[in-house]
Parts: sequence; C-alpha cells; structure tokens
Amino acid sequence: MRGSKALLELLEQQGVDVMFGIPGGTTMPIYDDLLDSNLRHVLVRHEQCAAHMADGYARATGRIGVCCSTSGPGATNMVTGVATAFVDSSPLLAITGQVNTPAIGNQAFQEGDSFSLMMPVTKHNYRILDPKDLPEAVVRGMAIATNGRYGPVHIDLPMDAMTGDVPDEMMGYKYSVDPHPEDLSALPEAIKVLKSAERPLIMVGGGCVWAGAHQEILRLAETLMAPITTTLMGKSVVPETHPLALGLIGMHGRECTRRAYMECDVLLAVGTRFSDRSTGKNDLSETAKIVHVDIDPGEAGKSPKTEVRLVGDAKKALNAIIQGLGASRGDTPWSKRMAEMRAFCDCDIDIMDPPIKPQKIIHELNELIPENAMVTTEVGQNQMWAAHLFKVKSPRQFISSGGFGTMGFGFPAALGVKVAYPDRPVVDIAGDGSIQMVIQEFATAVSEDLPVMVVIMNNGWLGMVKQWQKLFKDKRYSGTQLKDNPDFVKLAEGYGAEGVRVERPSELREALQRGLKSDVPFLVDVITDPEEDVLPMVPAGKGADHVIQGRCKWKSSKW
Amino acid sequence: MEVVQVVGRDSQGLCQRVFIELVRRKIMVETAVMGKKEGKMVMILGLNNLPGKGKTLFALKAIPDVISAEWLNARVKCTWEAVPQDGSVFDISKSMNEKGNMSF
Repeated sequence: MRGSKALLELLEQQGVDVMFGIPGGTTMPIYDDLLDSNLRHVLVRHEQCAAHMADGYARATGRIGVCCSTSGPGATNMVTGVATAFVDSSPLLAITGQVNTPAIGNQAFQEGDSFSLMMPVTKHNYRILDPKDLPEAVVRGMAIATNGRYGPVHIDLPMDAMTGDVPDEMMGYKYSVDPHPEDLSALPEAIKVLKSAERPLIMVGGGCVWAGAHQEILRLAETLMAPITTTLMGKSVVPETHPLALGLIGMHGRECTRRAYMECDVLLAVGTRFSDRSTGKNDLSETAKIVHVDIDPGEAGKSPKTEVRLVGDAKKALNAIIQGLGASRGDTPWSKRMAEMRAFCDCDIDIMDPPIKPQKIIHELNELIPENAMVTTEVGQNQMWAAHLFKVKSPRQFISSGGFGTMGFGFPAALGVKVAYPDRPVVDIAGDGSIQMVIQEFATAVSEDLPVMVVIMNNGWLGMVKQWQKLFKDKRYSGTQLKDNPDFVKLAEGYGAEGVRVERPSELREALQRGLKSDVPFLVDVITDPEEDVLPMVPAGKGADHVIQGRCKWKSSKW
Repeated sequence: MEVVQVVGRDSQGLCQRVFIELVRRKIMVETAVMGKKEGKMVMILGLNNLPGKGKTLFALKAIPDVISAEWLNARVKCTWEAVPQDGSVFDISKSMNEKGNMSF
C-alpha cells in the first residue's frame, strides 16, 4: 500500500484516534487518504497549535498525541509546540511533510531541513528516504516517545515516500526499543535515610504525573507524615485539599512550602529535575539530605546534596520505598508544625474591592468548577496566579507549559483536552497578551464543536514582564503595555463563539457560570487590576531567603 | 581535553544527534574520529569545557540508538583510512583503555 495510507493504518494500529493538523502541498497524499480513514482529524489554524493540541491531549490522557504539518513553514511553525512538549516530557508524534527526495537539498519550494530543526527538541526523529522504513519509524518512534522519560518523536516524510509502496509484510513487524535504564540498588539506603528523617519533605514533579504515581505519593506521605510540595509540572499529582499537601514550590510558590523547604532535614524529590524555577539556588539547610528518584539517569542525583540516587519509574520506586518503610509513624512535631503553617498560609486580599483582582478569578473557579473539570493556563502572571491559588482536586487536572514557558499554549492545549474528554468542562486561564498569540483557534473550537471556556485576565499589559520591570528595573516600562487591545468578546463572536466582558467583581461569578454551561466556546474577558503583582516571589538567581512577600499574613506573624 | 567513546547503531542522524546533545550542554567538540565498525558507528571525541562528566555519559546513553558511552582514560590512537571506492569505509585501528586492553 502507498506510504500515506500505511502511515494512517499504522497510527490506527497503535491506538491513535485523533490527529491535529493542517494540510499543505507536501501532505496532500495523507489528507487524501484521511478521507478513507477512521482517524479523526482536527483542522487547526496554525501548526504551532496542532502541536499544543496534541500536547494537551497527551497531558490529559497520558497517551501519545499526534500532530501533522506540511514542509517548510509548516514544520518551522510546529517547532515551538514540539519544543514545549520536549521540555515538559510530553509524548508526541510530530509528522511533517517534505519535498520529494530528489529535491531535498536544492532549496525546493517549501523545503526546510526539518530533520535537523527538530533534532534538538525531540527524543528522536526519522527522515524517511525509503517507504519501507515507514513502519519502523511509526511503531518504534511511538515506543520511544512513551518509554522512559517521555518526549516527542518526529517523522519527516517526503512526498515520494507517501506515494511509494510500503510492502504489506512490513506492516505487521514488531519493533522494539531498549528498556530504559533502571538502578534501584540504593533502595535500602533510601529507606534508611527516610526512616531517620525528623523533618521529611516530599517534592513532587511532573514525572509522577506521567508515571501515574498519585496514590503512591499520598501513601508515602501518610506513612512518613511528610508534607508534599509540588513543582508546576507536578501540581496535578495530589489533591491540594489533602492535609499534607502544601501546594506549589518555587519562584512563586506558597510561603509555607518555602519555609518547609528551608527547614526540612530530608528532601525526597520524585520525578523532578530541580529546575531553576522550582528550587532556585537549591539552598536547603546545610545538613539536609536529598533522596532523588527520577526515570532519567541524567537528572537523578542532579543536586550536589543528593545522598541517595534512584533511577527508575516513580510508581515502582515509591511502592518499593513504601514497603520498606512499614507502618505510618503517626503525627510528629514536624507534621503538626506543617499543619499549622498550612492553615496559616493565606493571602490578605479583599477580593471584593474593585478593580477586579486576578486572585478573585481563581477563587471563583475553585468554588465553581466541578472535580472532573480540566484547567489549562497560558504563560505569565495568569499562569502563576493559577498555579499558586487554584486547588487541584483530581489527577492531571492542571495543565501548563512549565519548562519552555510558551505563551499561547493554554488555549490550544485546552482544545486538545476537550477532544480527549468531551464531557468534562475545560477552562483555559489566559492573559490578554498570550491569548492574542493563538486566538485564531476559536475557529477550530467552533468548527470542531469544542466548547471550552477561556477566561482572560485582561490587565492591558504583558504583566509578568511589567512586574519584573517594576520590581527590578525601577519601573522603566519598555514594550510591555498592550495598547489598543481588541474587543475580545466581539472577536470571539466573530468566530461564532460567545463571550461576556466583566468589569466589576459582582459580575464575575455569573459570567463564569454562564461560560461553564455554554454549549459553544465561550470567552470571559475580565478587566483586572493592572497594578496587581504575583507575589510572593523569589527573584531569579536568588536563594529562597530573598523572598519578596506579597500581601500575605506572614509579614506580621509569630512565625 | 577529555576523550569519550560513543558506540551506536548505524542509524540516520546518530552522529548529528550526539553533537547536538554535547553542544546543548556547552561542551565543545575539539576533535572527532568517526567510523563504522562491524555494523556499528564508533565515535571518538575530544571534548572541552566539560561541566559534569557523569551527567554527560548519562545524556549520551539516553540518545536512542546509542549503545554505549564511556570515557577513555589512557592513550588513544586512531588511524583513519578512507577508501573512496568502498564508500565510507573507515578503520579505527588502535585504542587502549586504562587496563591496556583493546576496547574495540
């Protein structure tokens, strides 16, 4: 059968049910064969968004997301989306068309070296120069994407490979990948260190989400009576209503997590890579020890303070640790102190005061959205307010671009989530800057019947950059004011969506309720206080003791 | 300079991938000898500006199709014989590890 048909059949064989993409000259054979395929195709309006949608789908389900673009500009457009998935270890299969193999290297029309372009932002990639290589690329590529530390795989597919013949006997081949390296030999040492800990703290990253180690983290925390902090990527691991869940750690983390981090004597870090945004200068106390569990041998033991390094799947490693620890130790002075700190950790903001505080939006969403709802964010202040204040209740509920920090991620990711879970409410928390990078996808949302709600924190600024200029550049605002923003509601309506503008705190709840009930994509444009900053904040490159506190209770407290 | 030996399957883009991973980590490749040996690709690389030796090996081993990556601690001598008529046939003829054994 011809290559393009083989590609679609192979995807179906591998359990793929949807592909996000937009056609072009070099992918015409694929789109022709799509007409006879069972795959659902979601037609996007920009290739970057195809990758973000596939990424959102993957993060929501744990299954690989598939996206497709044409060659040249289609492929370069897709690079940002693929890079976003790569940095956050999300499994994608990115397919790009390519000019005919004889034309490669001749600067043919819409030729781009996507094989090389994608290489630094993928786990692996293939350029198919012979159609018979296609089955291995698809089957083995998908296995690589979902093995060990997950990540994107790219297939560059020239036109003549799509139209050339893939021998039928090659369609059923089994292609294997090497098992990911594992080293749990230090388990007894890890158990010994954890048993002797007086002030244990668990720091959870995205690796626990991908491993599905939600229950294991809770069981371990309850056994050790250890509080849990989460990085941005690990935010969906445990319900933040759990008494041991302290919340977000890092640059804009909660004050109680910062203090717990500085006071703990053993830090059990699971599925996290000690990024500069989560642990900054890594200034644990002098005597603190780290037990680090990570599936990536290049990340495990990254901190110089690592006492025990375990390489392996978080779920498997945690189960072994739990078995070794035995019965729960019950309440300890540390757990009691943490419970008090958790209860005390709150913001001192009058959210009914106009102008609308962004925090009020998250407060209302905490009350309004059901447990099975999914929340995505854009990047910037909106993301940090959501990460700091939104209370996650179920696994994978919170989806955000962490490592790459891609503005414009949240809306297309929300559409990918909605494709995966059409019956769940999906909310994108956006800023007026970020939504304008991807707002054309309202066309996709309407035409594909994906009724998500986009809530814009509209403060008329590129807020996070403005905040840094305010705090660290003596209020020398440069290039950050978004003058002449469009009327977002009219814009949404132009695409066939609905929307409402909110200017007073008293109007907010009803607007959000309307959006959650809407049968069509819905935009809530909330005019927010431009002077509100995301605080607390540990400045970049500084230690946790250099925190800038916001309007929180700690300032005048006994602590 | 540190010397690393990377052995991988002879797959498309393997050498490029190894270079990209090193450069991404600010590691400069000062010298490189690459050749096919018994169906496998062997790369011997002289590296500068090495921030973390252990992590570099893990990163190289994590690249799909890389079979092994190891530091060569003793003297390494490579002979590169190009035979155009035979295509890209190269011969890396001599190399010793710290025990004085031939490593391939």
